[in-house]
Amino acid sequence: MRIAVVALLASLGALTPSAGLEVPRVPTRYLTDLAGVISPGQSDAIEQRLQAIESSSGHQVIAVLFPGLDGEPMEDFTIRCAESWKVGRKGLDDGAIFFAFIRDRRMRLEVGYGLESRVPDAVARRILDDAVKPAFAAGEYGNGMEALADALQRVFAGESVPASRQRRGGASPVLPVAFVIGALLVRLLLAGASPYRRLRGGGFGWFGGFGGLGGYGGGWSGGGFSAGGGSFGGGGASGSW
Amino acid sequence: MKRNLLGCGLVVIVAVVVVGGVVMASYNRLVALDEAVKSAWGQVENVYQRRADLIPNLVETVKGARDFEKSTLTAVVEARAKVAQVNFGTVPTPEQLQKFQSAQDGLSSALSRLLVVVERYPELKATQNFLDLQAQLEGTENRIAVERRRFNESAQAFNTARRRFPTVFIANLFGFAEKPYFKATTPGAETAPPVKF
Repeated sequence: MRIAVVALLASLGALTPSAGLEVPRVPTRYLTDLAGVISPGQSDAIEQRLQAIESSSGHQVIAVLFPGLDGEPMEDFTIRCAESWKVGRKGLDDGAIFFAFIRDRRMRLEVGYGLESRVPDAVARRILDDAVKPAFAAGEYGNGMEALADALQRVFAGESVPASRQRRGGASPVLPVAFVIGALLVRLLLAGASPYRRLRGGGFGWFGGFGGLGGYGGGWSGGGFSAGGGSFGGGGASGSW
Repeated sequence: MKRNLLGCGLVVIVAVVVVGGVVMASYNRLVALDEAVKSAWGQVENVYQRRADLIPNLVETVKGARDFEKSTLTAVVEARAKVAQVNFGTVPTPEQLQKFQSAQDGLSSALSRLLVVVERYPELKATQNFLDLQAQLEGTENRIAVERRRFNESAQAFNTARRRFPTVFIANLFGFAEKPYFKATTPGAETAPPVKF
């Protein structure tokens, strides 16, 4: 029993740094081609497509192409990236990350909590298999990425941008409302307070304290990607080509 | 003399304030970590429930295939019934968690057997309905792995804090019990995604 717990803790500890693939820093571009398989021209075009998805739907979608997995279990690695990068808006958790591992011919679409109803696992799988896979199988990675952007744009098209803060079925709206009222009262009482100060509430993550801080950084790279603080729970789909 | 008494009183007051502060800080920290474990457990139950909810649909779909092997289907249905009996609503005790895990593992193996059998029915495997269900099932297994890991992480954070000095006294005083962990049933099961066929 004791040994089992120790072994488990050891395995948990081993998850974090491990030998194989390290979780990179938060990408500062929508498309990060670490494998070098997309031409610069097409890369810029895809970058703009993904950026346009964010400005039209609000959903942050980024893509990272790795040379290989180096023996790392894919789903384990991708969720750790997702936890550390925090793509998607805070509270809405509406980010998505496409991963490809070129040497292993495997890919995954990680879907944030808030997008799971819009992009359920079955839809994610279809996007990978029907849109991305054929191009990737032909070695046309850039076209595969364009197909991904097309497919996601189609999925997002026609949906209204969610205005309310929703979080996987739980939190009642009473708390935020109370915070707003509280904030207003404080503002009234302290007339001299800076107007840019905002009360932060409801930010207590249930894995509080773990994971890297993503939302910082990338601020100077004008026009680039900057993560919004969304969280992921392992939704999405995996595929291969 | 009078000054001495005053000094003593001051020392006592300071000591009480300091001790009180330490007790309060430790207690509050334990409460926060305890809540984190509770909410992580809630997520664990959610994702397992999500898997259980997929099963009626899966059974319906598979039944539709011509002369599908009945015994594998019954095994899945029975395993699901067992799983339904182990819902606690709160963070389980070590014994409860063991029961929970063995019931859930029973369902996992019944499901993977079913997926192996499906390999023998190519027409069924090719239907959109089945492919969608398979994607949902895989996604759910992945979520289960994620939430189990997060539960273990939060339980570990709680247990580590609980065993520290002087928190351990406060934990014992207020009856904060150690949290159990999910154990890997097969090597690497903590992290390994479901096998994809």
